[in-house]
Amino acid sequence: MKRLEFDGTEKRFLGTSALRELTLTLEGDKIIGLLGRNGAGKTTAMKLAAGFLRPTAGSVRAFGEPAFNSLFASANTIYMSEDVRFPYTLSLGGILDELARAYPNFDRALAGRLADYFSLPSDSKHAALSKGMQNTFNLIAGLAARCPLTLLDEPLNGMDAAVRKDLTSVLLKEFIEAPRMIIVSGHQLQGLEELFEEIAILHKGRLLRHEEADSFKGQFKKVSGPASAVSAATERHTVILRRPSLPGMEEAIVELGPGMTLFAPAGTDLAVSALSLNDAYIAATGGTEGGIDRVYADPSGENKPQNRRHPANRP
Amino acid sequence: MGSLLSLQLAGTLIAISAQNGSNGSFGNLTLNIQTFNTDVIVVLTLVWAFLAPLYLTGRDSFEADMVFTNDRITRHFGNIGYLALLTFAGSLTAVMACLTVLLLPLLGSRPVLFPEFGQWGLAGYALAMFTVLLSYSLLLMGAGYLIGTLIGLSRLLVIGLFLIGLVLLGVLDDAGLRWLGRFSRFLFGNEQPVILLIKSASSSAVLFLAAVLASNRQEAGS
Repeated sequence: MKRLEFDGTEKRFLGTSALRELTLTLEGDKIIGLLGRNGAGKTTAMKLAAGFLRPTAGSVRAFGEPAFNSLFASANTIYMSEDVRFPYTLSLGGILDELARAYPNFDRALAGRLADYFSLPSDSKHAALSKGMQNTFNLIAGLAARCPLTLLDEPLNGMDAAVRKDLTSVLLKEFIEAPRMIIVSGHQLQGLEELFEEIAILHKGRLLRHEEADSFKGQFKKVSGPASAVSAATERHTVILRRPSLPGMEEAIVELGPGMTLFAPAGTDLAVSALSLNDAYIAATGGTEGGIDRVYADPSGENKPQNRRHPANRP
Repeated sequence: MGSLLSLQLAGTLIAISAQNGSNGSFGNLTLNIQTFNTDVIVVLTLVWAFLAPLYLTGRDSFEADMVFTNDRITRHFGNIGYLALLTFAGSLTAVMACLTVLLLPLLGSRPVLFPEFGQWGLAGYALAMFTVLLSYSLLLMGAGYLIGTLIGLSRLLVIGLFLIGLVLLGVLDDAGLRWLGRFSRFLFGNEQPVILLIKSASSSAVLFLAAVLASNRQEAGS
């Protein structure tokens, strides 16, 4: 049975398309990264998968049933994000107790131990916690539920580096302890990218890529060295980003075609390195030649600094 | 339930503190007439019966429910069952609070003469009061549930429906008001409390059903 299936899915809000013609099938117990820039449609896709939203066109099926308004899909799916709301009358301990009653696989003891480890007092109210602590609690609750389909939307937002590191370990340990499909969406991947077995990249509401994480990452290389050598080495490849580094030096990010490789010829001072998944997906979704430097280059020359009126020069 | 009991306790205290007394002497007999008005308990219970479903059907409550295992119908049935149970318990405690106020003079040392309670006595009076209160509570609860659900869907929708209702009444002129009067008489003009209960329960079931149908496609987190 296919765990999650989008078929020509479209979602519009007040006439604005958040997701367009998304066709994507996800199967198996694995950690999947749902990646994309801000506004790419990640959260919309996650909420459609969780049955929170109804598709405007097409369909979303979880466990073979329409995800929207299905008790079976709901019992096997949990969605956690930073804006998820819990009953404000319940304490953290009370929320975990209720979740344990709602989800048959919920590991209440583990959730309690993790909450203690991350200094989340069981008698506190969720709304009284800081943003980072709320997200920590949400992630603990989402993982302890051990649902066959676990949806974590931007799970590490607002957390400090130490907590991020610990929770990344928790995510991996939980997956090993109870394998399931965990879909993690986000645009800040540091720490998480090594966990992804598969990735799906959304861009402007459409599916841009869906493949194995290692395969995707391997398609992008960074080439740096003398400008002429970089140009020569990359001429047969798709250059996604090219920018000067030091005087006379240049670096470029290239996407290799199927079956192609890129080596640094001996004696050319050319360096070829692999990209992290984070850099690769950024390159795939928006790298433009020159990058942000182009904004500051101001080729028109109309806004040179000397022409600007500085507030201090005003009479 | 805690909020309801708090309201009823407050109502009881208000009823006790607002009692009126008068004295009259007839030869060797001295009558001290104490008048208690327990309307405040009933009114607070009815207000609660209308407001509680507004909270339960609000956007926050809906979003919070969606974290747990459910679908829209299951959530509605859970809510309606919970509210019906609360209404039953709340009507019972309201009657008990009213009786407490009524029986309060018994705590004194002087002998107490009670007014007539009809052919069924105090128990019959309490049962009739419970039935009537339960009927009105169910009706208000159904109305609150439908209004709360519609507000959760769209505030504009509620305002629009309200305006359409006013326009219809204006267009229909006297006929509209006469129709409303007939409907009210049908609903509330009953000799037997149990008939009122049946009609009120049926009407609130229609209101609950309308709420379920209206929000069966409601989206969360949009």
